[in-house]
Amino acid sequence: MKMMKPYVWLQTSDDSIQQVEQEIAMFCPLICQEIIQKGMGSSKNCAICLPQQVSPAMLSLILDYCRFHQVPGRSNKERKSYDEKFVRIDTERLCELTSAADSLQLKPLVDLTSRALARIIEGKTPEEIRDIFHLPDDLTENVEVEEEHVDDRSVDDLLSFINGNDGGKLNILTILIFVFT
Amino acid sequence: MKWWAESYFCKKPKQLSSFLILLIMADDIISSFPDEILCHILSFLPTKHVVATSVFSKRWKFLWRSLPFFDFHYDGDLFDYDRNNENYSHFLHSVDSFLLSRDRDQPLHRFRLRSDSTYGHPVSIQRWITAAVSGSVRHLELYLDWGFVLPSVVFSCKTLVDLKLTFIQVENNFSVDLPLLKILHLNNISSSQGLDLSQLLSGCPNLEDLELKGFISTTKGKFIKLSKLVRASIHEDLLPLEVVKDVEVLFLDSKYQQILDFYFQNLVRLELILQLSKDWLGVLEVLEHCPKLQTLLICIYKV
Repeated sequence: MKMMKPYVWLQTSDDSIQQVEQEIAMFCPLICQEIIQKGMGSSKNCAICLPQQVSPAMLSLILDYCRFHQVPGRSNKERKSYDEKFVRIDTERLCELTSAADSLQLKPLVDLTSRALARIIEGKTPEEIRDIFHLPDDLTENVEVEEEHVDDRSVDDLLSFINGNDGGKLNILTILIFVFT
Repeated sequence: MKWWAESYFCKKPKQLSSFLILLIMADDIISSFPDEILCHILSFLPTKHVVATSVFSKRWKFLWRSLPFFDFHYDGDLFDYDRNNENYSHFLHSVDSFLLSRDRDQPLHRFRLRSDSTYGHPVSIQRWITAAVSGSVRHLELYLDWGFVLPSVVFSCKTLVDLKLTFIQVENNFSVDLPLLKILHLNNISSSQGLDLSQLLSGCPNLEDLELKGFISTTKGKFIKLSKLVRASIHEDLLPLEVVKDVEVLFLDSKYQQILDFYFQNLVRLELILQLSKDWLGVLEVLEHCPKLQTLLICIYKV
């Protein structure tokens, strides 16, 4: 019987190739599929090509995560406190990590980082959020475009839109303002 | 030149424009996520915060509409009747507009509502629940204070996987058909004639997790065998222990005086609440019937 290879070759988004413990890399379903179904990764020449989202820095973070959780016999408390520290990184890296983990189909890590991002979003003003995530403030622009669009309609069109079918009424309701106290 | 630019420029030049766009957008990574990840992130937030994300930027404007989750919490003001009334009608109005403006082609998978208003529950809440149940809701969690009568259709919702009810009134007669239900938590349920647990459980053949607390059971028939049950938490003698004898995790409060003529074959974790004055022989008796037990947790309260 052929022995299981302890290492696997991975190629990251910058085209660099590295050797990684197979046992740990197999934690990522995408890598696991490549190894088992396609027999990839056994040598440098047939390295597994990782998705564009996985940079070397992200791969190293993800492997740290897998390495910790792969060790049996850790208590839930230990795992939880590791996870908490693990996502204490700057927001930009947290986003990159989410995207990389998602591309490798590593669901527990996607859950962890998504939860951390949700916590960042919760309870902040839109301005704060735009600052943190560098979002464009492009909504006012949008309103102008919509107004122009409305002006294009004839009065009859508008009236039938407001009084008419269910779809029309629905659109009017989207204007309602949400007030939560 | 940095590595990424180098490696890019050595490749096909026709992708240049998209590459430049990527560079400009590079900072705003989160907006480049596919909808599925963004919605996954939003799924961890209460709906009120989810809706608030619509004012972040264009990318976020309509995301909330397709999210299959309903998660609202109303925290009432017990001491100021007028203010509470006003806030509560605001709340109801806002939830109504949420339901009307969301993308109704997207079914609600999770419906979670907690309301601490003590001034009655208008029909709109019943309407919301009925709508969710006639869709394909999987998780239904309600915490409403006394007096709210649950629409009975909830108990014949074939898509329901997880049902958690706290402080709710149920009607006296209803049929139960919950073929997919795995988790059932009932806490402080009222019913003018008491709840027939054997009838209720007979409609939940795939139950894995059962929690019963704070109500009166008027069981008439026999209990079915819940062969998939893994975890049970039983208070106030609401269920004969024999029904839960195959579980792996069991929580009991003190009053069990039943004679054990069976073994808890699979039990690995047992949690007990005891009164200090209770005799410990009873505990020993239970322990003798748990051959696989690994963890025993005992909470004692003084009387």
